[in-house]
Amino acid sequence: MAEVDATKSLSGLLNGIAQKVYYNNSEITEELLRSELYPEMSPDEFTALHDKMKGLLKSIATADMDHAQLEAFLTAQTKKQGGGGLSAEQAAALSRFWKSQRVRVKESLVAHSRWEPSLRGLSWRVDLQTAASRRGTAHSGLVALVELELGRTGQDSEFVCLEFDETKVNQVLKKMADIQESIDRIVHST
Amino acid sequence: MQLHFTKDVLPDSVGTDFQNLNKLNEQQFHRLIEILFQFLLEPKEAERFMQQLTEFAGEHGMSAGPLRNLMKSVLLVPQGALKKNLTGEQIKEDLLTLGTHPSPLGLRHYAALTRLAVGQTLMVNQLVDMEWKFGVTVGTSEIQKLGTVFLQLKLVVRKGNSTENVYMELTLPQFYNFLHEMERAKASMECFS
Repeated sequence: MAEVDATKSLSGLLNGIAQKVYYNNSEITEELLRSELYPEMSPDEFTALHDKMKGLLKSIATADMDHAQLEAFLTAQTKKQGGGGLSAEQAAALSRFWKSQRVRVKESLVAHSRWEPSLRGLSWRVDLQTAASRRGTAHSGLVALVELELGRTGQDSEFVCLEFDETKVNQVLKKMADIQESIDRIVHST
Repeated sequence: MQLHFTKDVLPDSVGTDFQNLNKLNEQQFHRLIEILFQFLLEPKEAERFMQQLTEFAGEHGMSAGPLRNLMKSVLLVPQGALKKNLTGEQIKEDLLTLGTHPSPLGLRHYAALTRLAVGQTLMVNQLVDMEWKFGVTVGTSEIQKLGTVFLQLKLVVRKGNSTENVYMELTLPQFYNFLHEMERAKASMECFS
């Protein structure tokens, strides 16, 4: 019984660390984790456990370990003498955690490495302008209005509105065809 | 303070500036808004903007310096409204939250002009050029080995008399979605030409 509880607490701790470090959950604090999961432990003891798990998670995430690498890594950790070692139960909890969270952690890290805004959405409409009150409005005729929704991870969207005449639309499509060619060359040549 | 036009915490001076707008009479308020929006529509005309403010200050017995600072704060609302695509209603709400109490007519005038500026700016955002960079991210400080594709776009956009660069980074699915929509837009244009 005690073992099951210990495993549950450790799984909870690993999830809590992931929430804070990788999933941007600012509500999770070390103190919260300690009081919820390890209320009997002293703050110092808990900090040691927390930091050890966090360090191990970071090593695993940085190397984006696959199954074989993870098993080798964890086995090595359990064989460590002294205080740095890992128990078999802890290794098992880490293994289970990584199996279920690997993709999500990696996605979060990749998203955070994009520092320019990404294109969250776009909508467009095509207008037929027949008249304008402002003198010097260069175009009448068909105009495509495109609204791009841009935003960085964790920030609100900003909207950029662009207008294109038919010529411009064709130019953009031509450039996109060039991009597509580049993509095909790299992505499909592997 | 919950505002639509920005999520940033504003310094106290901004709140004070907006409240000082209340000291203006109807005519002064309208003239100041006119000057403000001329600048919004032609953001390169900074000198003309400053000159008009100095003239206004002289005409109404105010000091030019504080007036310029006041206008810098006031500019924040339409600039934020443009970026966040706010409605007239939302702009009015923000002005009230900031403590501006011009007459109902003045308020409507300000919100309407902001929407007009948004609309006008909509008209003149023309794509001048599109540059792109494409490759594979092989590693980051957080993940040693990676193989994700990146596509960076720089759109050069003409706004009024100046150009602005808009940068974005797309995943492949986002790029294909963009391409798909542009093709649809072109098909739509071809229907009518």
